[in-house]
Amino acid sequence: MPIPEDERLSDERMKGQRMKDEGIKDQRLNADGPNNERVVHEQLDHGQIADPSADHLVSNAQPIDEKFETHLKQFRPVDPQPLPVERRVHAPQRWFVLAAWAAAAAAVVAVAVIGFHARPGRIAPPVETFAIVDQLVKPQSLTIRTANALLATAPSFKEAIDQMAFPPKPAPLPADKHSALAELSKEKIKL
Amino acid sequence: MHPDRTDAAEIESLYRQHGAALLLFAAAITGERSRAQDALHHVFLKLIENGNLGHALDKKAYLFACVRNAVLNEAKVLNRHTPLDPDSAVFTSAWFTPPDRDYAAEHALRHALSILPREQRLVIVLHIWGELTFAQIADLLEISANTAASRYRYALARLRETMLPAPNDKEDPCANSRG
Repeated sequence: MPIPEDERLSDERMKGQRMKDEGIKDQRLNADGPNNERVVHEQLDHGQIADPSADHLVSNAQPIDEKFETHLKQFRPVDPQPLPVERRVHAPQRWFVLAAWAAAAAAVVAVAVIGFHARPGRIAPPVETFAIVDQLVKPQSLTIRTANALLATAPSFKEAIDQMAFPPKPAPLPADKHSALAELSKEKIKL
Repeated sequence: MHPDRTDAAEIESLYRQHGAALLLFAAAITGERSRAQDALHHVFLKLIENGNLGHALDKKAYLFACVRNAVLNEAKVLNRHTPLDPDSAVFTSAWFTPPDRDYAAEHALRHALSILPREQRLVIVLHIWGELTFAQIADLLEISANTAASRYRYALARLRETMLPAPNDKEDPCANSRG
């Protein structure tokens, strides 16, 4: 259903009805005819009357039903939905700071543990020993590729199988190193 | 220039302070609460994003003007006007929190507002719930203060006629105030 009355028609009707209903009181508002509106604006422009006094000037023309106004004001407009903005970053910042402190503490603990294990009092094997042990312990694993290579290059099938079963010895040790097995094998043990 | 945190906080404070009246004002124009809500959010998000209320002498009146412009611009874009129809579905959501949970009175008030001429409805919403003076309303709606006051008086009278029962009814809360 559209708005029942056109604005202009409504204003005209209002004005006519008001003149008929309000009589003398309304003449106070319209005493200057069309100039009254200009006078009010001039007064407003020159600061002779403030906004509230302008209300007073207008509302004195006819007593406004204050009780009904009060009654209407008891109806409070429903609050709007909250603004769809991201919340302040105060709380995330706090969490971020806490997480940063926790990470820093964890890092300190890790460094302390590593330092404890690597302190000078402990006997740590020299790096060269690790290399030798690696050479002795890690046999070359047998893969399909190496098996194929052995079968292709070995003079006979039996020799290829032997090489697979008994892989060649690791690289020879440096000149200043000696294998314990080699030394023991040189000794002649008399039983 | 982006507003600093204080500016955003001030805008959010204004939203909390005047949001309800601004929403009612927008709904009085659009007739649809959802569109009114969208327009209100649009205005305030834009203010938070890049707005600066420092230049506004009367911030409350400025906000009402912003909301009015946003609603009218949106209506222009959509090229439609939704009349306030008390029987339509868009007009079924409550606009007010009634005193004493008197939802019948709330419905009666909405109905009474819906059958007011648009100009009277805007003035009465701005003056009663927006708490703007007639001079502020005149400035906002680009009318004279006398016209604003006149529209207000007639809107009030028509609301009263629509909402309240006969004068001899004992339950009329404003019976004694009648002239």
